[in-house]
Amino acid sequence: MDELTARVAERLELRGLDGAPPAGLADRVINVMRTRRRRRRRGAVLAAALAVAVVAVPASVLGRGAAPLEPTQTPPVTATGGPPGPPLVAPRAPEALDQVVDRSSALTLPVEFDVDGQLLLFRAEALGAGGIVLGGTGFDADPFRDTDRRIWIGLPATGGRVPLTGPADAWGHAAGGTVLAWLEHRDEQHDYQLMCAQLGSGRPPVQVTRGGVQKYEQPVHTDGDTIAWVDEENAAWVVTGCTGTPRRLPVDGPVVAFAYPEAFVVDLRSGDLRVVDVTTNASAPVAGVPAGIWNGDFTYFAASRELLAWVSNRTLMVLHRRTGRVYRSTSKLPVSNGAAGDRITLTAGDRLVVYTCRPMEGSPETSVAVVYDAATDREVLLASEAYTAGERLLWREGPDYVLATVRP
Amino acid sequence: MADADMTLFDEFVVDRIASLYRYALVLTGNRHDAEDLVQEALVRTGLAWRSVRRKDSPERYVRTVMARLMVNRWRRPRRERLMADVPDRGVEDAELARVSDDAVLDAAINALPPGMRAVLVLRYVDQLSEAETAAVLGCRPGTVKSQAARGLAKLRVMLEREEPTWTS
Repeated sequence: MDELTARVAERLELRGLDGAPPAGLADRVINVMRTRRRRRRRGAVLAAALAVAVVAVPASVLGRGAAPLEPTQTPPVTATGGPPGPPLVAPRAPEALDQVVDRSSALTLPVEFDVDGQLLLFRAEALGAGGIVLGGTGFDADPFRDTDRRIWIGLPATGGRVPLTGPADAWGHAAGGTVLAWLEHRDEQHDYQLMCAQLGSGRPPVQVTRGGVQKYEQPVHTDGDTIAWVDEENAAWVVTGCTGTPRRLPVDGPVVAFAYPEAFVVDLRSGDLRVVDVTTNASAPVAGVPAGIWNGDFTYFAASRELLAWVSNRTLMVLHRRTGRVYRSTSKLPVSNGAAGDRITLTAGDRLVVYTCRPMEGSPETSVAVVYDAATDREVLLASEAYTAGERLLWREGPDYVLATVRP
Repeated sequence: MADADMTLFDEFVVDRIASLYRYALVLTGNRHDAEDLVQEALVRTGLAWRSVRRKDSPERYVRTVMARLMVNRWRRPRRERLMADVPDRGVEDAELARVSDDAVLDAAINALPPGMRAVLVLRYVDQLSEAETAAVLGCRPGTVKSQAARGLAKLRVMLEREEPTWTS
């Protein structure tokens, strides 16, 4: 141990001698734990009720989807796993969703699938506007053992899956129309680097840059064929396609949302949100968004051409970009209270904004979602995870993910 | 959780909260974050108490949860940082110089990303090996090695930058 190391150890240790816990902390811990335990039980009961409803639908009710969805691009590789044959009509989900999605368009993607006799559990991570689901397997194991994860493309149109990677330390998935992006631990010089797969290219995934990506909650965003991200020095970047030349944006800070051609970037000095046109480099503050909105990594954003949404302090706000009107949720957003922590995802489509909170350990029973319908200003609470992109909504319903088009 | 289990958990919290809070202070460097961290870690432990209490050391389990929370959830950038700014230095005083050096080092440690700080705590306070630290944090030993090296390098740079200029 050299001199600096010894001094660091000494200063760190001294912090611990600095004080007794605040009065009442033990009681507070016990009370909070009991409250969360009660909420968990209620969530489990809700999920169980939903599962019963799904099981109760007889197989004879299931039939062909009236208007099957087709992904805009499909990968050139053969799909693995999933049941063969035509897509199935989804079993019923909460009736409130009937006001939002067209049931006749629903397709299912089973969570469980078989690869060479091994049963794998698929977890959706991102939905592309074309109907492709980017997800992974290996999340059901210890959440902190993150090296056994594999990335797959889920194809609700066929119920199948396409492998994208071998076992990888991967996260931060984002699905655009023609590119898929995620972070992967590639070398010891950086925590995570940006990976990309071009749909329909016939080429394997490539590493976009040699540099690292900053570990924000949502560090990578895609729309169409463009990827936006923030590097380890908090510089914002975009690239077109997987092999384009990355271009630095004129505003530094985390890219928190992206709806081509507009990247939404947080100015870390002020906490303000700025919008940057990635085709012209013009940037401006975002009207309708409070100054200093950034509350560290606990503020979540999502954008589409129609909507800009953010979640802060468990409150959902949605800016209708054409009219400037701002919607504010009336009640606190629910949380899943995962034992190893929660993972919050906010997605925005043409008409919907979806907040999802799910436990990090991969057990989906206590996942919750709020679907906000911008056309009616109504919210639908789901006892499952959900995602939206373009005109589509994906949610978990018992043993399946269900993909449906949003009503016009 | 059965009532008996809950009673055991309550007793564990009351018995160990002081020690766990001190460890949270070591990890976070300030009382507010330490309070949040120890509360979150204990609540999660309570929710998993049935399996945790069968482990050799529930306290070690809570410490592990705290370290992992630091790495996985407490990585937001801070707009406010504690600075070791000591104005109006007019005299040379060995004791004052030592105190000032410590303050600079404390501020530099506080400026490190939480995950990097957690690695330093596990490696140099808890004196875990790289492999043991990696096991606690759920990452590779190589990552621990690089994070520790980068943490120390950052501290060196910050200390050099903050080197006080003494006036006579």
